[in-house]
Amino acid sequence: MKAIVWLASYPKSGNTWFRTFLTNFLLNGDQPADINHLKGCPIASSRLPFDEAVGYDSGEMTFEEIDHLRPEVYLHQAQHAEETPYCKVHDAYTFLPDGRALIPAEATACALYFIRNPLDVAVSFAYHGAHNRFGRMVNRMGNNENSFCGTDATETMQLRQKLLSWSNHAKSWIDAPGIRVLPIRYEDMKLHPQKTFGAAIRFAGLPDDSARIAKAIRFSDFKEVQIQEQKTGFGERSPGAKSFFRKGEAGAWRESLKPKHAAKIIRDHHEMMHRFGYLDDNNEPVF
Amino acid sequence: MTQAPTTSPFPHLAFGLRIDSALELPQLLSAEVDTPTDVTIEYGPVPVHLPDPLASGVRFDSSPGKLLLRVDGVARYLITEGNRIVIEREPAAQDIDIRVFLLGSAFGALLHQRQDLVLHGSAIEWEGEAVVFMGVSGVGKSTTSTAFRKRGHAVLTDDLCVVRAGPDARMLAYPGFPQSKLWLDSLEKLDFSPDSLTRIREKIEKRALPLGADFSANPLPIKKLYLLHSHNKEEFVLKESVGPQKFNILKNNTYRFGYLAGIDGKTGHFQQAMQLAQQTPLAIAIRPREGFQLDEFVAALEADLRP
Repeated sequence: MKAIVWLASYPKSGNTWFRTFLTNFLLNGDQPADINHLKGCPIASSRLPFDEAVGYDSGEMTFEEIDHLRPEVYLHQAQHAEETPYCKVHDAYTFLPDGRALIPAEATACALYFIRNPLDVAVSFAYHGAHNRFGRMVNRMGNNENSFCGTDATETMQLRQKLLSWSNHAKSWIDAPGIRVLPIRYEDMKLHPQKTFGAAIRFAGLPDDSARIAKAIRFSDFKEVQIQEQKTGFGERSPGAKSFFRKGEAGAWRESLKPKHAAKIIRDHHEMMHRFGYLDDNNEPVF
Repeated sequence: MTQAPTTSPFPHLAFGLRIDSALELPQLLSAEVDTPTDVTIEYGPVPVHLPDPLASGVRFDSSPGKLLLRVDGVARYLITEGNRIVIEREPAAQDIDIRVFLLGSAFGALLHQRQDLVLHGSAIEWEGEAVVFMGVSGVGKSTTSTAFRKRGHAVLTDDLCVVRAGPDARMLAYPGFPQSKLWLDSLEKLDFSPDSLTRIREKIEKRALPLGADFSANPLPIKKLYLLHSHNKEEFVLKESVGPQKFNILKNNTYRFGYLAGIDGKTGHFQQAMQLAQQTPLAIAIRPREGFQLDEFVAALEADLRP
């Protein structure tokens, strides 16, 4: 049995960046790790590992029937793991009708929760979706019914993931009962990398080696991953998006988000934005 | 094991086997009454767990000659010695639900127990031979085989492809039963109306598409295997696979490979997969993930299949 370290986040919040860092840290090589072979794959909502663990097809089950089995699937995966699994997850931390958590505490070592200024998330999310419709993304982020792969007209490669609203996604993980969670701000990963990545490494129980952390930070630098994506492509890019590693900046929303969209995000998420220092006392964005 | 045909009200035929079932399986062809029974399906008590299984999943236990499958709210299935399936249904279960898991995973387990090579794939007829499309769920196996059907090729099987060595040691793909299963978006791409088609389960938007006269009912030697894949780029890619990679692809696309650990059937399985890999070309066929572009994809495969 090896309990799972969850790499949890709302989409476009630094999860892949952290996975690049973690892969470099764990491999500890002389060259930057290949971005197409990152740790934390497959994502918790992948269909194939679910089907293999359960023994029959999720494609022939309802969303509710699938969710009912997911806690046992993660426990099964932890019980059969020989090395600590690092598992990316975009699902919010939700509970099933019978009261069990979708992500069970018994299968969990800890969770790292990546959080990013929702104003920047909206822009990055819209580019990732390849349609650049910011208003639509702003609405999705405010909608508590929002999910990924929630269609029943086709068999998506991933299982349905309830995201909830941006605020409730963050709240669901950070206040999840019975599991250890470290919130990590994307902006701190940019501004204070050594301190921020170091804290994550210590929280996950990995060797606290500052030279190794520094090297992994260097090998997962935004420029490095951009060059790799240009050369070889990146399997996690959405088909219509120009690139996955687009800008990687804090505060870039100011260039592209309309004031009415920014205002709606602040209106919808001010409580959580204050909690994570994205709004100052005058309700003005910090980044 | 042979039983008198009178013991079962519904004699069926699938995967080259005569199956006598207490539950009528209207998807399957009927068997001739005077053929010997290969498999019986009956209702009866089924335990919740197997004692000391060699392999277990979240909802299955597997031991040599025995596999137990538990589908919550539907039924428990005990598959034994490759010739018997006992079903204990749950009170609220409907026949339609019981059939879906019976014709999929339970049959897969049964065929594994018979030491057949069972691939996760669909197959079509191409000039007297079989072409197999393998790949993960949702990648487009049924959609691709149905597109070939629309171009005049009969379909041998959908989702579960049984391979057995023929008398001359050439590997043959066996016909399953005359039905494909397709999601609404695939039906739309293929110009089939979902209105007259039944759902595979009451609450699942996947439809059963009968094959009718477009079913190929005879085993056929395999001409070529394709592993279907999609990517986030805009081009089609066809890569011929060679050497040990072929064997690994067959292993990775074995139907419910996890069952084999308990069945103790790995040795026989690997020998057959090796045999198939040695005598049959295999290509990886990759299409753009965005907007399936089915016609172009099928045209590329057809061009590859033509001499």
